Amino acid sequence: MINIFTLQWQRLRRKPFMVLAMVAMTIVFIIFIGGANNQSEVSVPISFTEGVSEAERTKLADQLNELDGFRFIETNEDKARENIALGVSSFGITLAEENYRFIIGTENPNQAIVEQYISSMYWEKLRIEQAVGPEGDEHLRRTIEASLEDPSMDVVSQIGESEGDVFIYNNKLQALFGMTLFFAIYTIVFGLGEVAEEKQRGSWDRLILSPVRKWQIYLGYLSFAFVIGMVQIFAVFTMFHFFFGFDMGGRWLEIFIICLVYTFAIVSLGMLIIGLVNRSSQLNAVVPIIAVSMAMLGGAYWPIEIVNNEVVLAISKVIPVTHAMEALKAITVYGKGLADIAQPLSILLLMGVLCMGCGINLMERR
Amino acid sequence: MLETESLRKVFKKQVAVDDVNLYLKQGESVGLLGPNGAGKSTFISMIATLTKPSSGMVTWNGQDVIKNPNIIRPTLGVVPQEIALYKELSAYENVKFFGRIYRLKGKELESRVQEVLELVGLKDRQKELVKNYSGGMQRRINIAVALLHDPEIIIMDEPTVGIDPQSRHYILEMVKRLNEEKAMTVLYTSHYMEEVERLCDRIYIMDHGKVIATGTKEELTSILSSEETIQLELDQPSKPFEEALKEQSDVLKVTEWEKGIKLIVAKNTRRLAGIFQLAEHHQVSINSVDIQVPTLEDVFLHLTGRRLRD
Ligand SMILES: Nc1ncnc2c1ncn2[C@@H]1O[C@H](COP(=O)(O)OP(=O)(O)OP(=O)(O)O)[C@@H](O)[C@H]1O
Ligand SMILES: [Mg+2]
Repeated sequence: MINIFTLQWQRLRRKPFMVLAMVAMTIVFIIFIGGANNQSEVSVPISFTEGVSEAERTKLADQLNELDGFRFIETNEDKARENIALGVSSFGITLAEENYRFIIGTENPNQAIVEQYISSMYWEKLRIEQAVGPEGDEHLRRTIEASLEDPSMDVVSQIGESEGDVFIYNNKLQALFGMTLFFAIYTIVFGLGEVAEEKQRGSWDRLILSPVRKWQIYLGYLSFAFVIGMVQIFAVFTMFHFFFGFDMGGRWLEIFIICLVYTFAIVSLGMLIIGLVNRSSQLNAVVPIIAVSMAMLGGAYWPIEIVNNEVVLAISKVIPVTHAMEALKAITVYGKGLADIAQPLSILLLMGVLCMGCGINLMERR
Repeated sequence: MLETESLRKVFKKQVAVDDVNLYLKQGESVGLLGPNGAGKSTFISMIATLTKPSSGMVTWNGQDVIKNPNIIRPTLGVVPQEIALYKELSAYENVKFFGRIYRLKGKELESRVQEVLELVGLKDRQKELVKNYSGGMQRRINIAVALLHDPEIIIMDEPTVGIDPQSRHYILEMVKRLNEEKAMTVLYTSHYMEEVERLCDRIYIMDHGKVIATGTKEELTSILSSEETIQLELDQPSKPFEEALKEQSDVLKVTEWEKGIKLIVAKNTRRLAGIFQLAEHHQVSINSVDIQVPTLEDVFLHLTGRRLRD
């Protein structure tokens, strides 16, 4: 097994272009999409209706500006409309006491993110309003607001429902995770593709005739694909964390565990794909299709949180990328713990075991 | 002794190997001759335990190989029809990898690697990448790998397909040496009858999955024993002479060819004196006489009505 494992590295050293290209593409895309510097905030013009008090205005604007990746700039509505007409901004918002209005120039995915954020913001505001009642007990309002600002454990669990609806958009980490997981699929599956090639070339028969056991041969290949996938993912993560200033937090152990499980799932998926297609030329055609559609449906290109389509959401549940993204964001963006990501991790593990079983079975049946 | 009994392989509806009986005694060199698609590779793959037969038996010293492949695998060296090597690695790295796979280590591994590289005559060029080798050199490394673990039997599937005459000659000589000096048992597959004629003690001729003839070269060619061809080169064509030849009792057939006349006669009925007499009588001078003994090619043609290679 060790021999087959090291052989693959020896061969990789002679033909490293494929893997290097994948790493390079990952880097380029992350910088392009995530923006290595801070200039890439989307600015959104906002204006207020007459009825909104000065204090209320600053409060709303501050609250809005907590949304990462966006800058909300106060202007009047006419100016906002002009900017949108000129294409300077793609949309703007007019805020009133109890509702808001979008001024839309062109369709833009950012708008869905802002909309979701702002709706939960108003929803929360409305709840407080209802609790306080029309008489307007200023003291009660303050208490509720204060406890929301600095929630005790009880409050967090009580408003857990609305908390879940709030989605924090971190453009940098979204791009970093999405692109890294996406390009790792190529490296891993093509790394495994050597098995298919080996069978066509006849050197597989040589290995079968030798004293090496079949499971050792498989294990040699699988471990190679696994390690190269892990190396690629971690090379990109550390590079962006330490050199490009993408703050991933310091929870490397959790991140490592997620990557382990994700890589395992993709290696298994690769086994299944190879078991199904059985020729390496077909593999070259099939892998991009599968990788791209998994990335689209699994939220590697854009956050799955902005998707409303029921069908897409249902499909996303059977895609490993979805669960890995969810787990990674839970750890880095939402600051959750290992226990909270137990579900996505066990789904990934289950997928891995199933695909591996089917894949090896298909391969052996041929 | 390696033996197959009614060995058969059916792919979907196509019968690739059809009830083949074959044996291979120790130290023997046996040829398996057949055109493309005859089922040679499929047959070999079954005795090498790489393909499961649809029915039939393979035994090694009386033991069932299909049930228990491991009794024969260590004694087999298989040279596949394709180049089963890692082309982006050097010859040395390839041979060494397969040596490790065969559990060779350290000094023993190194000396064994050098030994087989020497054997195939590529010791000097072992550091070059296999993809930069000529077809013939790649074939030689393909053989070297199969010899690493010093097998008792070597099974070669068309080891000389599409290579230069020099490499081909080298490979044939090498196989002959292995067989004669090291008493290695050889099963050699080819669709070149010259190779098989030169190397092998016994020959099986296969077509459409069936063994259609078997025996030593002499035994096989004696299938055509009843006839031989006499080819006469004449000064000028002569109808009367031709007619006179047809009258002769032993002459089975007379045909013209560009420079004269071709006779098919019963074998060992030396008609030459009679023929010369007739020629003199008709004032025809004979420039040359060529008596053709049948080859394996003729045997194949006779048995199947087709040539080995088209
Ligand atoms: N895996 C397979 N599936 C289906 N048919 C097969 C398979 N392998 C071989 N065959 C068929 O079985 C027949 C015998 O093939 P085989 O490769 O054994 O012939 P061969 O004598 O080695 O020919 P060649 O000289 O071209 O190597 C062919 O008609 C081939 O199409
Ligand atoms: Mg063949």
